[in-house]
Amino acid sequence: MSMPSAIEIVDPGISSTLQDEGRLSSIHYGVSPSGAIDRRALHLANEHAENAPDATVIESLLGRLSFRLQEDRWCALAGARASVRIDGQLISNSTLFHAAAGALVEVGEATRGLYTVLAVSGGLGAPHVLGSASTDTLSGIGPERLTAGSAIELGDAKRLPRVTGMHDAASLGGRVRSNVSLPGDRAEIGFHWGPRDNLFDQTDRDLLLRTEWVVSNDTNRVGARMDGARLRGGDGTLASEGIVSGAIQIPPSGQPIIFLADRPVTGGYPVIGVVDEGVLGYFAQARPGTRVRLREVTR
Amino acid sequence: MPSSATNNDAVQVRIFVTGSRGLLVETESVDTIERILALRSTLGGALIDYAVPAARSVLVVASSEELVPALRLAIKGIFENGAENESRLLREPVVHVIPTRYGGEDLVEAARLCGMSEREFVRAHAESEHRIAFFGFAPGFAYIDGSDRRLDLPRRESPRKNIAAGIVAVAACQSVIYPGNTPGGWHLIGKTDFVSWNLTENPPTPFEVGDTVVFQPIGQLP
Repeated sequence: MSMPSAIEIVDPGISSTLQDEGRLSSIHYGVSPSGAIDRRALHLANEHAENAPDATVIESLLGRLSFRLQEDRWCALAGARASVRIDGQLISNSTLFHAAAGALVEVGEATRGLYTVLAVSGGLGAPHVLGSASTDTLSGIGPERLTAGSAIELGDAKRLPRVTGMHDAASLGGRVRSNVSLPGDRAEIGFHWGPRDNLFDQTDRDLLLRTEWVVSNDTNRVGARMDGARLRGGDGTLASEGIVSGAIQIPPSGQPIIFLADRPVTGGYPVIGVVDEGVLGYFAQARPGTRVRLREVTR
Repeated sequence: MPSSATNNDAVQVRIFVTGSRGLLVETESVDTIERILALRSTLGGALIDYAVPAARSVLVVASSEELVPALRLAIKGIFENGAENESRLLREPVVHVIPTRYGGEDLVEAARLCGMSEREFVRAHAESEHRIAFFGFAPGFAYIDGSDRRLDLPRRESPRKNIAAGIVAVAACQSVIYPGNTPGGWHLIGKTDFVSWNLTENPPTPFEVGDTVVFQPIGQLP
């Protein structure tokens, strides 16, 4: 019996967590959904690594993750744009690359977008809590944030690397799709009105549409606070009610907060609108300072 | 048997759209919420992605945008002729007996605020018809409705930072068994060894919305 191979974290960067599809099935027990903040990146990285779409990945704020594998594996990087060095050598395509056992793999600082997602072929065998290996940064459910020295078991890779000694995917042709779209300095985000838009007057509704919002520094996996204007209406007199991811909540300060993966399950302040599900992953990649226009999506 | 006193809900149903797949349904009836939650098993579970019960509402999210009209019809059906569907839709509520050692840190003050002796307070609490209303605030924090009407206590002015699992508390005619590692502003009146929240199990709690809870006094009473 040999010990299963692992991925060893050399440096987690600013913040790296394990993520998958999260815990939506336990939401009615008050448990946050969690899971990868950009599901597009989760699915793409796992597709490239030939894993199941919900296989556990490492999500890193602004990249800067470095690690070693105890066994040769393919690795796929998606989400925020970042370079990759293997034993100090810059590789030409970080989307899908082969890493030899023991090599030092360094993901560079992201140059666009907020969160990189790293999938390893075979997936990562992290322990599940309520059906998920995701770290919930709001309540602390799931594994701890990764630290230098963390080791996560590797799952069984479906196949051995096709080509050994090849460090990038340049010759893999059609197997590699282009990365997910990422917001630059400006982003236009579609949203739906409701459920509590009727608690706001026309002035507030116009303000939501006309303001050039700026993603504030007070932004994390729970939600993004938006600077730019303060809505006046909707003082928090509601009984707490269920919210969805992408909910644009207006707290008494009047400053909108857009809820993301580690959001609370219910909220007591009115939700004026909801970011369209199809662009939520894209929005979640918007860095603090990104200028955002909210555009109504017609049903 | 579940109560069927929900007919007067028919005129009050308000459904708000939230996002492209969500419907927020306002209702104060736990019976109605329970029946809406039971829709999770219709169409072999294909209709609903997830549902979140709360104090006066339940959020129901359809599995796809295309299923929203069907979901809306199903919800309206519950309000219009819910009672007829009950036997088909409702799971039999479970009765959970919670052995409780009364005598928490706030029991003396809570009884005084209610104008009762400690013994009267404990008796009123233990004899209340308690029922799981919904989970909220923190993972595993189940709001338990039905504490005796005399136990209408405001929350404490300064919440405690961390309350251990198994502490029984009351506020505003509701009770809770703290799940552990949460702050809390309710009045602590007792403790139980009953494990209502365990993350190593799935589901992590024996409680479901609509279940009956009986706090059974054990040990020496005040």
